Amino acid sequence: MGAILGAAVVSGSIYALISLGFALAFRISGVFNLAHGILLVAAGYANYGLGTLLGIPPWLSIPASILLVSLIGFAIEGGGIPLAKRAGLKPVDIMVLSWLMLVVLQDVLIIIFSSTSIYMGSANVVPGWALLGARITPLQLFTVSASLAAGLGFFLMARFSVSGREITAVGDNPLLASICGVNVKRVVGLNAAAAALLTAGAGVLFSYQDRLDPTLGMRFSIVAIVATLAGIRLGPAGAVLGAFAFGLLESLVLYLVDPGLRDTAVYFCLLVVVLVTYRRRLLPETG
Amino acid sequence: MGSDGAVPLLQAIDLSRHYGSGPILNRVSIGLRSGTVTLLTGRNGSGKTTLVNCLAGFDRSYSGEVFLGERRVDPVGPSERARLGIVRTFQYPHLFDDFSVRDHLTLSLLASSPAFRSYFRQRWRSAQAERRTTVAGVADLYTKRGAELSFGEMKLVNTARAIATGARILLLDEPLASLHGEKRVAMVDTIRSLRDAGCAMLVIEHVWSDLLPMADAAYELENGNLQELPCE
Amino acid sequence: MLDFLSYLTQIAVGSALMALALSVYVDGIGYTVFHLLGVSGVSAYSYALLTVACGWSVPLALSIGILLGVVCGWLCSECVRTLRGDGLALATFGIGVGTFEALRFVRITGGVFGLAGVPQLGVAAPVPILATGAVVLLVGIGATALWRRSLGGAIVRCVQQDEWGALSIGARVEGHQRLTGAFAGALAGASGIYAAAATGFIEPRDFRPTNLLVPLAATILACGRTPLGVVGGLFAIVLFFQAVRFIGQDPTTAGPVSEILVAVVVGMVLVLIRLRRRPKFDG
Repeated sequence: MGAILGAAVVSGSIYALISLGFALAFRISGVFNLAHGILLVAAGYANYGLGTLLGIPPWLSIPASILLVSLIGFAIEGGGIPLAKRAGLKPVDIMVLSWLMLVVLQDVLIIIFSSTSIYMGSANVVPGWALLGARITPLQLFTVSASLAAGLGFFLMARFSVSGREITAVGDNPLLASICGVNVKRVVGLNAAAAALLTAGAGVLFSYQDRLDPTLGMRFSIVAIVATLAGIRLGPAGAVLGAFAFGLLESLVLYLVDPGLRDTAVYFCLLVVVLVTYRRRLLPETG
Repeated sequence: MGSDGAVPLLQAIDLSRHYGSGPILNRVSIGLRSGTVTLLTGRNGSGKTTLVNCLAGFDRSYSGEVFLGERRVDPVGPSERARLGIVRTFQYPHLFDDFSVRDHLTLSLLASSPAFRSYFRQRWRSAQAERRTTVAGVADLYTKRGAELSFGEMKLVNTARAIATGARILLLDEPLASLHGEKRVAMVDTIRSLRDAGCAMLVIEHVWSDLLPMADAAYELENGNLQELPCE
Repeated sequence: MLDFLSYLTQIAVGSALMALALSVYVDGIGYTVFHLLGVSGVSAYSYALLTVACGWSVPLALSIGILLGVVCGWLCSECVRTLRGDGLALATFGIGVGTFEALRFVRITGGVFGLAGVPQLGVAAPVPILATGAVVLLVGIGATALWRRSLGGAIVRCVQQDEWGALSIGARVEGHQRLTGAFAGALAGASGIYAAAATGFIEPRDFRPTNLLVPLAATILACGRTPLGVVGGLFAIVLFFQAVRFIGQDPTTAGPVSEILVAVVVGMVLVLIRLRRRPKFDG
């Protein structure tokens, strides 16, 4: 049981960071950006490319790769998606476009790094600390702490700060928020930047803890969507809880059912969460 | 609800609908009898279209009861209510961009066909549904597509399409809006003919002068409550 | 030349049937769905298992396979009946990819290694392959064209263009959803069976999500035109892939490069098509 909980907490922490990033962006745009997960993968590969292939030291390669991928994420979430919405594209069309973007970025990674999976962590086994019958390494502990801190931070920000209320206002009705004096472009931009930074950071952290390959982007996007929808009533912070809950479910499947069903579980979770969360909305006309 | 004791064709009893904290409909009761025109007015946002949505089944999140004759239709959705004879029009017409006006009328006639049989019917356009509509001015628009119509023309086609279904109960949401001159007169004549043919109609309008002479009842929705108004 | 044409037929006809299945949804009822690859996988594997493992005849296994496609298509449309837009796309994505992952896991399907020895639909020679492919394609195009021209096809297009308008005239939207799902499921099932029979081999990789890119691209590029337009677009894309492979001479990069170019073009066309659409009154 300790191993299951430990694995749940560790995997849940990475999922929490990417889900928080996704939820922040989703709160404003209302669009399921399927390209979100490939940013995590791209950050890991960027760090690998800069660090391992070009020999740049980690204190430079890590922030550089986070910054580089954050710029791509910002361009998508802060520029591309708002532009598409203003042009009148429906959310489902933007979702299809984001899937095409994922395919493009995935193929770019395959061309540059030729489908090789990467692992940036040490070849030596790090013993770590005992916790609830499992062992947790310093890096994993850092990731868990960072995800919990980020989740709590955004929860408090959303509830008690002006910025948090501005994000909620823009997410609910950008036109009305603009009329009430909120700088919508600034809010959208900062929100997109935060989302991209969280995801890129998660990618770099993940590359030091597990193997990464270009085809994992879609899986991470789906996990982020599942976690966001599962915790939707609590806003972005709910995505963190949803991510840890998903991490627990994944560990249960891995340890108690069959490791081969891990990916099947992700996609059937998606179906269940969407069916439970979504209802067909029949909007009445005014009059 | 009628002095002659006859059961109304369509009847709503204690209909209530809430949005957020306030009621948009507050225990509204209304009955539509065969061969009558009932007028409904109210300021913007008073709930007129919400009432039509509830009667037609587009909004079933209400409390209260809706009867079609003696049959309770609350569990029934909008397309089945349309097949049972309760057809509504829209304030902003919901037309089909790529279909001609003639196709709109034909589809109104045939849309209620069982789905499986529809897939085997190839020459459906030959069904002459335009004979079923009595809205003047629509014939000039037969070859135009939904996307090519002006707002006034869309309102005309919207009403003609509802009539072409052959429904006994019509819920018309501002049928005279954007109509002027001959077209307005023609629409009023159409409503009169439908009444004379036994149709029960609920007509939402802000300007009543053209319809008041033929109206059998008139109501105003205010703060969710239905108040009867004099018809003279 | 005959060898090349028969090779093209083997790789393209299955995708063309999938494109027709997608077009039934996208151009018909107007839904964007992603479950059809999963449905095609179920049909393909059932055909393979019934013939290879159970020794059933090809016609019987083929019929059962397509029937399973119809049933799965129907069931999927039932599951997601109340969803629309991005929620529907996501839910069907979960169904489609979840089915693919399940096929990878289940031992009876051979897991990640797949199944070999899947019987072909005709004689394994260039001319019969071309003839069989042409017949299958013509049947698919004909069925889709008849569906589009039918009253049912018109009603689903009404649902696509304005669902409230369709409901207001008594259109049996749920019935049409089910039949659209069943018909698309039949086409998707035929697509999977043909692809398996064409190569004599089936593996879960044949049904991964990126394999929808080419059929979806053909559907979008056809811009709602006839089934012939969808199939023509698909063959053009397949020829483009072959051309890139031929020019590039490096098979490891030719595939990703082709995919990038197709994805970019399709994205641009999708944006242009949607921007041309007249804005409707909302509410």
